[in-house]
Amino acid sequence: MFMKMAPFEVLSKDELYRLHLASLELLEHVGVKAPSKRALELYDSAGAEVDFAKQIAKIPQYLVEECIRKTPRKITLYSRDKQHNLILGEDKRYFGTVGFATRMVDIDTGQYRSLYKKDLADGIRLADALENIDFQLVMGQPVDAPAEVVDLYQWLIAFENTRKHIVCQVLSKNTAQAAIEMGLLIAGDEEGLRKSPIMSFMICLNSPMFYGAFELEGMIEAVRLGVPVYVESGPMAGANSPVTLAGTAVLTNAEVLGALVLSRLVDPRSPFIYGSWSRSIDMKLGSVVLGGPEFALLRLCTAQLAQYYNLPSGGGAVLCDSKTYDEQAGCEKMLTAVIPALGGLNLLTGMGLVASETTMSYEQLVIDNEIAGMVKRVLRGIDFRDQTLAIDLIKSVGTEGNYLAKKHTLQFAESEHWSPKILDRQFSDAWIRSGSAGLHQRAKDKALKILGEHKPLPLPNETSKGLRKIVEELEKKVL
Amino acid sequence: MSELTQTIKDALLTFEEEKIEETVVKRLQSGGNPLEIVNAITAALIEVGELFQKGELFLPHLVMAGEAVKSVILNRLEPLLKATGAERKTAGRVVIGTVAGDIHDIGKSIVASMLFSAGFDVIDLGKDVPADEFIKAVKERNPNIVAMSALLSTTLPVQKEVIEVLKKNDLRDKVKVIVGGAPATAEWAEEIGADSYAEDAVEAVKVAKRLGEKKT
Repeated sequence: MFMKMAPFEVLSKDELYRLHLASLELLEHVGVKAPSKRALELYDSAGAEVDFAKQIAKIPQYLVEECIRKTPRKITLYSRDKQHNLILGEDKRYFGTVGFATRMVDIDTGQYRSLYKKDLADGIRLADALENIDFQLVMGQPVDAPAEVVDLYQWLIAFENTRKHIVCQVLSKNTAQAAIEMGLLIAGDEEGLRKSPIMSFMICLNSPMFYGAFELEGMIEAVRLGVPVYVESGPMAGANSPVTLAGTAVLTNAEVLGALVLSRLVDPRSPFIYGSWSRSIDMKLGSVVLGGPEFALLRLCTAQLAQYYNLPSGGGAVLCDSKTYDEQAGCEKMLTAVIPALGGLNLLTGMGLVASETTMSYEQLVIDNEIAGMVKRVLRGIDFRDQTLAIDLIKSVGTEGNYLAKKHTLQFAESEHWSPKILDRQFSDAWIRSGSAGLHQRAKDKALKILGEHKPLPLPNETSKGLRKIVEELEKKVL
Repeated sequence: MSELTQTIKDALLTFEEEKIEETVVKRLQSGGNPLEIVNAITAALIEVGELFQKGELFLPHLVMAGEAVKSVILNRLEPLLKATGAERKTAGRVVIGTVAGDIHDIGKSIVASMLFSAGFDVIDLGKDVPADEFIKAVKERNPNIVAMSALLSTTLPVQKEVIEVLKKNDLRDKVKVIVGGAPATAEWAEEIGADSYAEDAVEAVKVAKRLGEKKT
C-alpha cells in the first residue's frame, strides 16, 4: 500500500546523531553481557574486547557502524498465500498482533480466565480474517501446553490457523531448532526457507545491557538460515533504564545495535528488524505502562532511529493498560496506534491484548482492527491532484446546489472516505430504536460471526501431520 | 512518634541519606541504645511505606529510603546489636529470588525493597536461582517466608520444583511460600501447593504480613 504521509519527527538530526554516538560509547565502554560461548567467540573474532569469564563483549565503534551498513534496508516478510507479503523498510506501516497473554477476557462471560490452546487458535483465526491485521505476532502462551515446549505449540497453532506472516518467540535452543524444522517442512528445503520465509523469530533482549543465552542461540539459528529476526529491547524507564525518555532511548538503541552486530557476524545479508518496546513503570504503583503518552513518544524515537540507520523497524503500538475493552482502552489504544504510525514504524505490533500485554480479548481485536483502519486512512493522507482538487467540478456547480448526484462524488466516495465496520454513525433515534448498543456488543457480534464462519487456508495434509510430529518428538525428548 | 523516628522520617522524605547516618552516629556517641535506634528507624521506614501505599510517594522514593536504612542498619547498628546479643524486631524473615532459568528480576527487586520497608528482614538471592540455593538459604537462614518470582511461562514450573524440593528436605512446613510474576496466578499457587500468590509488590507485603501472623 502506498503511504504518502511523511513520517512525523520528534528528534532533530543533531539529537539523532548524539543518540548514535552515545550508543556507540556505551557499546565500547560498558559492552554487552552475552552468556553464550558461541556468541562471545563471534564477537571476539570480529575484534570486540571479550572477557570470557565475565561473558562481556565490548564492541568497537567501527564494528557497529560497519555492521549497520551491511544490514539489508528493505526486506520482505512472506505469507503462505503470497497475498499478504509485506515489504519492510523506509516508512512502510503494517499493523499486527502481539504476544505474551496467558489470560483472556472470556467472550461469553466477560470474566478473566486462563488462555488455552483452543483460545489461541480462535484468536489467530479471527486475526486471519480481519482485513487490517497485516501480520501475526502470536498473541498468547496457552497454559495447557507444557511449559518446556509452549513456544513450539505457539508456532504450530499459528501455522495451522493463518496464512499471514508469523512472528513468534523462541524460549529454548531445542524449540528454536524445532521451529526452524517446521519452517523447513512448509518451505520444502533450506533454499525455499531462505528465499521466502513465512516466519520470523522475535528476539527479546534484557536491560541494562544483557542478553539471555537462549535468545542469542535462537537468533544465531534463525540468522544462519535467513529467517528474519525481529530484535527488540523493552526496558522500563525508571526501573531498568533511566527514568528520562532520552536516556531510555539511548540504552535501548545500544542494546539492539549490540545484538545487530552479533547477527551480522553470522550472516550480514540476513533480514533484521530493528525493534523496541521501551516503556515505563507507573511511579506510584510500579506497574508497567504501555498505554501512555511516553510509550507513544518512545516509539517515535524507535522509528526515527531505524530510519536514521536505514533499517526495517518494529515496535509496540495499539496497546492499553486498561483491563478490558472500555473507554480507557479506547483512549490508550488510539493514542498508541496513531502516534507510532505517524512516526513511520514499519511493524506496529499490539492488537488483541488488554491489561498491558497479559490478556487477550477477541472483542478488543475486532475494535483494534477498526482503529487500524482509521489510522491507515490517516496515513494515506490527502490525495492531491487536478481530479481531487476538482476545480472544474466546483465551477460547474457554481453557487448553491450540491454535490450529491455528481459522478465525481461516486467516483471518489470510497477511496477518499473510510467507512466504519463497527463504529456507530447512525442518527440518534435510529440508534435508540436499534437497542442503544455500545461498541462492545457490536465487536462481540462481529467476533462471534467470524469465529463461526471463517476457515483458515488449510495446510497440505502431509505438512500438517509433519508439524504435529515435530512437536510430539520434541515433547518425548524433553518431557 | 519518638523524636528520633520523626527526625529519621523527615530525612527519608527529603532524600537526606547523610542526615540519617549522621543522626545515628550522634545518638550512638551520646550513649544511645542501638536496639532503640534500630526500632525507631524501622518505625520511620514503615511510615514511609504507608505513605507510598496511600499513593503519596513515588516508588523510587520508597526504594531509596529502603536502601538508605538498610545501609545504616547493616553497617552501623547490626554489628553493635550482635556484640550485645540483642536482636532487632522484624516482621519476619523472607528469602526471595527469581527462579532458575529466568533473568528478569526488576519486579522481584521491587518486592524485596517493599518487604524491607515494611519491616521484614529480606535475604535477596537475586535472579536465576536454582532450587538448591533456595533450600540452602532456608536451612542456613531459617526464614518464615520463601518468595519466588518468574516472568517466563517456561520458568514458572521451577516454582513448583522448589516446593517439591522443600518437601523432600522436610522443610515445607517450616516456611510459608509466596509466588508471583507475570504468568503466575492464584490458581497456579494453589495447584503447586504454595501458600499464597501476590500480583504486585503492595499485595506481596500484605500477604507476607498475613502469613507472618499465622505462624506466630
